[in-house]
Amino acid sequence: MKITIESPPPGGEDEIIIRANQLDERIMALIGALKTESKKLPAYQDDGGIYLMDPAQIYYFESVDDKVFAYGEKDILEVKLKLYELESRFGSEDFIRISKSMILNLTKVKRFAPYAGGRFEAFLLNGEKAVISRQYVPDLKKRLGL
Amino acid sequence: MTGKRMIRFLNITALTALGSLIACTVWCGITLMQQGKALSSAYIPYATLYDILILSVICGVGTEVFLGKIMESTDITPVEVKTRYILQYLFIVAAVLICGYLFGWYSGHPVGMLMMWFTATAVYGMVYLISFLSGRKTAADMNSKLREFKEKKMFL
Repeated sequence: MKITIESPPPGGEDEIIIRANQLDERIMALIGALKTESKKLPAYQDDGGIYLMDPAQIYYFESVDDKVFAYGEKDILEVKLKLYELESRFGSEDFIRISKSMILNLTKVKRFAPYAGGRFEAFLLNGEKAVISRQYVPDLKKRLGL
Repeated sequence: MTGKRMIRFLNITALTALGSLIACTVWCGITLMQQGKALSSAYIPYATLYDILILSVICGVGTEVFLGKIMESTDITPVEVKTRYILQYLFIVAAVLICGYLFGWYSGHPVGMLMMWFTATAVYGMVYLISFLSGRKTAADMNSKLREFKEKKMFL
């Protein structure tokens, strides 16, 4: 694959143009990587450190006491965005709102199981569980294609 | 009452009415067989349909009161979930026993009351089983689609 890097005209913004005969698996993976890179999320640790989190590594976002946290496999970092902002930013991808206080990454779900009161429980790959509120079940089913 | 709560209430009321009708059919059948009468000659009094409807509405309201919070909220502890289910079961049994007595479905005799309690528990169990099987089927469908979703993601 030929790679050409050109400088934009003065005042022009950075741009990536892909010229391809067809969008094969390799090109799609490249586009996916570029999209993910542009959506990395600044997250804050207790010690004041700022990190750029890859959304693909986030299991879920949860709102607790007016603060929003991103939960990785083991890490918990604060995110300075509201849940609805995260939903509009990542909602069209792998993330979906499952309750008033939680947005879940579907790629991190191991399986679903029925739970009391018409709700469902999501068993995550890291062993955690998340309860899916009854009112968000139709959205989840729609997203999964049911 | 919001639209969603109303739909939920109507669902429970309809399920309870169906369960009560099935229980009524079973007990009428047993009574007829004991008396050696033909099923085709039996009938349900018109007033019983109203009785069933009233009991179903009471059970629907009770279910909404005790289980509404479970269905709405995710911030509820497993202990509270169990407590609310037990309270709802006790409410339903009490409603069936009181309404059944007032409607003349059984005499005040302890055996009649015991049979009524058994019937209420059987109907409750049936409604719970339908709900459980429906949830399990939905979860199985969602798991199947989740696998497809992940396979697509891997391909991309």
